[in-house]
Amino acid sequence: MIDSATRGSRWLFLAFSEVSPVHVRSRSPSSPTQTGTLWGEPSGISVARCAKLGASIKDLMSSESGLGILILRSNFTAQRETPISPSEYKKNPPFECVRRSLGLHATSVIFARRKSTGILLSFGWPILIMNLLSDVLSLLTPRWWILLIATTGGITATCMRVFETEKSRPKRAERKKETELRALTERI
Amino acid sequence: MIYARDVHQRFPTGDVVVSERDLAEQLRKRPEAIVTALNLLLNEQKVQRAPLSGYWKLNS
Repeated sequence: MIDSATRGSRWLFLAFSEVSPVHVRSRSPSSPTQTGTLWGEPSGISVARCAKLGASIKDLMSSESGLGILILRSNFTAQRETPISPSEYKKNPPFECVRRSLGLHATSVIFARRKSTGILLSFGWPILIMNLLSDVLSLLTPRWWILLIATTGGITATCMRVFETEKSRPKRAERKKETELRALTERI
Repeated sequence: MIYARDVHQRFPTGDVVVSERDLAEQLRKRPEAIVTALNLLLNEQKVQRAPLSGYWKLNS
């Protein structure tokens, strides 16, 4: 780990408005990387982001990281200082994307898992809902599928009984009475 | 014909004759339902009307 002076955690909330050069810290992330912020020479400040294009299930199971990915996508579209295409992203890992976008003058990298701020969430509610829906469906075990199908069958049967026609209702009652009578004769 | 078979096993030498009311109490059913069931069994020749009104002979 290479340490130098750092500005603190305010950069998380002021990612779009930082204008002064700062000292940063470079370290290897222990968790999957979603974003990287690089600071260049004092004369030429640069901020670049590599948005992760595909979210893993493990990451999405955590609401914190799931929202973080959503914010990253919003940031990526909102700040196109150094645009990176999806194919380019696949060829190069996020660290390399950031480094290359800043050239050889890059001094250090900060990796951080971002938390939701509430403001940026408005960009991608549909994406969040779609991700959650697909993840819930993929996480359903066979036991839950059986339960879901049984519940659906029960609801269907109830609906059929509620909405059955006036003609079929007496017929069903007569059939039930006949069944009971047959059972009674067996008991006698 | 479970009830008729049980009674016949207890009294193997005699006929099984029961009243509608006793049968209703035994099976915990309404007497009307018992009469209806006995009439159904009468058509199948599994029971016979006893000479006394309200009594039936069960052909176990």
